[in-house]
Amino acid sequence: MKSTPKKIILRSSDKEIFEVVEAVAMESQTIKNLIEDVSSDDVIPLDNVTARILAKVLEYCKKHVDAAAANENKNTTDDELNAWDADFVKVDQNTLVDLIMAANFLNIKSLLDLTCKTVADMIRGKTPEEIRQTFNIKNDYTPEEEEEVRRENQWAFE
Amino acid sequence: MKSDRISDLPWDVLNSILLHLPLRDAARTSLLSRKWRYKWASLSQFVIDDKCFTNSLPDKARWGEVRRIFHQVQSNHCGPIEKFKLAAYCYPDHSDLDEWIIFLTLKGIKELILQDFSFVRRFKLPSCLFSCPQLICLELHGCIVKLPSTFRGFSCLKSLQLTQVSIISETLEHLISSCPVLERLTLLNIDHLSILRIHNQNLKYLKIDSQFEDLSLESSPLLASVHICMIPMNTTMPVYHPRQLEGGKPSNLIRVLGCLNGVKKLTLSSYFIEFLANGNLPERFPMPLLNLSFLDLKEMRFTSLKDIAALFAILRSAPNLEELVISAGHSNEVISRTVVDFLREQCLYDFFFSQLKVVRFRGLCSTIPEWEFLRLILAHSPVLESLIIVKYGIERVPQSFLLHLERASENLKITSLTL
Repeated sequence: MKSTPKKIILRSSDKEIFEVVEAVAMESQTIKNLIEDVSSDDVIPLDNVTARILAKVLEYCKKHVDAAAANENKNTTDDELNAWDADFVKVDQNTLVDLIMAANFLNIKSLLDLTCKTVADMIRGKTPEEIRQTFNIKNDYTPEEEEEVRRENQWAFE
Repeated sequence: MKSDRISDLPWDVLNSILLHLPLRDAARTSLLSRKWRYKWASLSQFVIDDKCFTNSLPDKARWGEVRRIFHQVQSNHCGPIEKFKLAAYCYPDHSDLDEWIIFLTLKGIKELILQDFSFVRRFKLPSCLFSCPQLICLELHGCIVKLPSTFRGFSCLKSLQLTQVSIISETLEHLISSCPVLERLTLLNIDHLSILRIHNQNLKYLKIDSQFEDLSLESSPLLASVHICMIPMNTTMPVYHPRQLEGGKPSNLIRVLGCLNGVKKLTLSSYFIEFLANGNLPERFPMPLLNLSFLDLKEMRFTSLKDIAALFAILRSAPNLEELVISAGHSNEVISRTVVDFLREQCLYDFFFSQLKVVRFRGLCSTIPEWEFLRLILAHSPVLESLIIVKYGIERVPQSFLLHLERASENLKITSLTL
């Protein structure tokens, strides 16, 4: 008789319930540590993650758990997973930052790396003004201060 | 309305983001806003390489800029620094570098990579580096290494690489044996080593490409990969020959390699093979190399009977060998009949390379000993799947010749390439 995989119940900050198999939930070190402490029937409250974001995070975890299993049978390649990841992070900036915060809180290293790298790619090679526009950063330097900063880090601005 | 959510991200997240950028791009964020001015100077890793500087900056002026970086970081950094790498062509001021390394040791440095290319005067490492408790990875290029008398070892060091450093044999021996969790050791072009003693129970990976007079390895149960190239000591001689052992002495082969019971991958160079072949060669190792699955011989001299005998002593002791890679060394020596006879004799022995699946032979010169060797391999390898021969020169090996060689394996694919 095949045993059904154990399910974990998660609750988002806006009180939505998510049921996932244990392996998927364990992609999060935070949840993994909680499961070991708490009785398995309890609902795990995730007060720092909204339902919208939690749904996406769980989608990522499920994809990676499935890919790892398939890899054992050599059914998927790294290239396919990388392409999926690249598509996964094609979201608006707000969602991207929410994903970063969720990955940080839930301690999902691969998702944190992926999302941080995506933000880094949005910074690389741009002028400071371009970066400010991308992220809506307000320039509060006086012209004299700006000049000072350019001089003290001359090597980076030449 | 869009708001700025980036500037207020928690520091460990921002650190992760900025670490995906080259230092130059990270430093440019200093201009974004007041909040951002010193974020780059608090990163947990700093890599200073050629990409930091524009081409218009001459090499000699680079150190001035590196000094600026040091100053910014030393003035504004909070928290630990885990990794520092210096790999830029520049002319380091040694007192600046000294001060910086002392700063790093106070910041709990775990990974330190120093490549000093200038070589006019070698940089002597400050002694505080040697009491650095958290060091996990150390890579030094072109420095002087002297251990202070207070040196108690690096309790966390897993990886050590030394390239063109000045260090004496006793110091090196002491350094290696004082690192209880050392897994990887790489020694490249170390000056003037007499006896190289590598005694460390935890070692998994060893690579040596250096001059030395003698080598002593310890039985390290975890040692899986060994790569040894011996550089001739005296390069003014046209052909170097290692000092011959007195007659009757047991061979270097067993004395040096006999302890490598657990080794899986073994790479040896021709001068080292010649060194190993010194002394009385046995037919096989006293303890077989049961885990050896990959053997790579660089510049194998098919003209030397001793070298060939040493090769066969290894082959006879490696019943589980799966892959054999040989690059043939060129020699002007006359091929003696004894080499050819020896190889033909081996054919009559009843042994098989029962696990050998892949053989790669590079630099085939089409001499008789090489052919005899290939013939031997083919006839005694029942599960051989692939034989790749690379010949330098115009004419390919005639396919007909290859196809007519007797083969023990049914599924063999022979590929012949010419470069």
